[in-house]
Amino acid sequence: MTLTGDFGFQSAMSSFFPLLPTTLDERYHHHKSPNSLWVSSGQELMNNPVPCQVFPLVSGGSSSGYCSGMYVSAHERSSSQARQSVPHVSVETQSLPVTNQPQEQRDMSWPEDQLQGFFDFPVPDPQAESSSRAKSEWPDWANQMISVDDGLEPNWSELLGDPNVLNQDSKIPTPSCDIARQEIVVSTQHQLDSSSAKSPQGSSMTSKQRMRWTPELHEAFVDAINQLGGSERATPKAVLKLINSPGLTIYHVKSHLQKYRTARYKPEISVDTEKPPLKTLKTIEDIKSLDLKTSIEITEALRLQMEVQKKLHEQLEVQRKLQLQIEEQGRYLQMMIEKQQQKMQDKKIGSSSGSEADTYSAPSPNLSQASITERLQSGSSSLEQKGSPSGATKKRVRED
Amino acid sequence: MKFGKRIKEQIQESLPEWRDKFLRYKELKNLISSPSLTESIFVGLLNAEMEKFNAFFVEQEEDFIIHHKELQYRIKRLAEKCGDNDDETFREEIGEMRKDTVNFHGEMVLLVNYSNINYTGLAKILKKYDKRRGGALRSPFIQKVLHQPFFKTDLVSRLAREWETTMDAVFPMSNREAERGYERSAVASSAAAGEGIFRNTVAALVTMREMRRGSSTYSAFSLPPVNLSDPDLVLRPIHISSPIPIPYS
Repeated sequence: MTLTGDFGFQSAMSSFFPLLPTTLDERYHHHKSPNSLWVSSGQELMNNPVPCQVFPLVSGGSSSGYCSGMYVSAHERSSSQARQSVPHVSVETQSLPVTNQPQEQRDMSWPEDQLQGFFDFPVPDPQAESSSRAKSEWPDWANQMISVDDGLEPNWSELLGDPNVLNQDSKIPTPSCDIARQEIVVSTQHQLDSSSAKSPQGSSMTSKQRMRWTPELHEAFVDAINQLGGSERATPKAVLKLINSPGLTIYHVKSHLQKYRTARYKPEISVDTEKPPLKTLKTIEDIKSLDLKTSIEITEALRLQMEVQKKLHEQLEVQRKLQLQIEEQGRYLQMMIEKQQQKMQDKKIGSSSGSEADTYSAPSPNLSQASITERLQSGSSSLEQKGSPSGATKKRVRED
Repeated sequence: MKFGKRIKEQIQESLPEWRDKFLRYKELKNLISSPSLTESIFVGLLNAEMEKFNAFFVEQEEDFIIHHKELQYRIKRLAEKCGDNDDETFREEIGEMRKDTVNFHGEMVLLVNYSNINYTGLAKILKKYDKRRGGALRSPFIQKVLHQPFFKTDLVSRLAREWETTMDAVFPMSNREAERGYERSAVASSAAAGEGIFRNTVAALVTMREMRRGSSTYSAFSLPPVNLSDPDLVLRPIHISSPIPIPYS
């Protein structure tokens, strides 16, 4: 059985690998389409590959959160699933500034001087008792984290305030449809914003941009390495020049090269060593039959492991979809409720007749999140009107 | 309370280098009850946590991209070396290759799991905060989370799926083989379960199932129970003996 298994493996390997060049070709071919230049607006985003984003390390928590919302990886384009996933991303990025801005500013913005004052240890607090208690209450890790993390929020809401600033100003025309160039979007405007908004951070911080690599970019990297005669001989500077991608810094290349070298070094060892020294002295037959048995078992164990992993992966995808849906529904519901409340407010203020209010108050305010979740579950489109709005309902969803 | 336990289990079972990269759920939960906690501090802490996730995730992703390519080269080289004949001398290398591939796939899935757990934890902690403090922090914050690098697992997911397709071709399996395989592999798998990745994966699946079984605070934002097509078929033969007894409630 092992023989056939191995045959299967080999033939599968040889049949699998030819697939690779074609898929890569597919991607490259897409890249070379005339319209795929720099990302300049939300619209073009959908057509262009933006496999990697460069954004400041320190503000990763907030502003990068916004920027990476524009991340549309190249792979999403080259197949039909791009049709499905891309519109979804566009909805996210476009709706984010609209719906969140008012809430954001209400909930999370606070006077920056207050924040600064807080982060200055020892905390200047009129009530000395409570402040000393406060400090001892929090574990060290919390204090540490706070001192690292400042100035995030204002930057983010600032970005939110200008949702299209990023898009409009990053139009950088490229003379050629070089793949490597297309693969990195340098949000130069963003960098300017970040460096100006976070000048208290110091210029050393902004130089550390966090880079998100993509397979395509890595491909370009490997090509450059090979051109330069291998990973040992290639220098970061030369590689950087060959890749020729704006936004890619030598720091990125350096760290990536280091990782690359490490990754290559390990498998080289295992491939070259002939037999592991663990084989005990036995007859040839014994070894063969033992090998066969254990290798069968090992293969089976691997197969099982693979099955379990696949299952987990599948479940994670399902869970993620559901979570996104729930959030989407929740936001929609919130919006509806707020609209409703607004209308009720207006009705109270105004002296108009109650007839409109009556028709409104009946159906919609009683939409509950629970009922929407149930709808998700059962697939039916009828909404029940039960319970109190938004979240407090303790309703069990029926298991299908 | 249940999630706190679950995430702790997950962390325990996870690969050693990952253990301090998870959400500090318990600590944050305890902080919520502290009166001196202001919203700004809390948000600051959450942001710091997210920064941690982002840094770790992006780094792992980069490693995966490199490794992904290397594995492909290795397979190609091996295929060329073996040719079309089944030489027994290569069986070991092939076996090694298989193992590395499966483990690589496993690690990628675990990274996706990592992302999910942290997202879920954040959502829950925000919910707790709002409940305790009567705030409206959850919704806008979650919107922000959705755009974080660590949440965007598309690439890793895609790479993992590529290997799944490959492995399906490499491991063709008939039904009878499958049954026999599961029985026999129960022995082998309990040995293999010592392996970090496999152990972690199974723990993750079990955790997910447990977490979604239903809770006392079931609400509209809760996920429905896990629907595995044949959960017990895969998970039953596996019995991971844990050195630390993990109480399953």
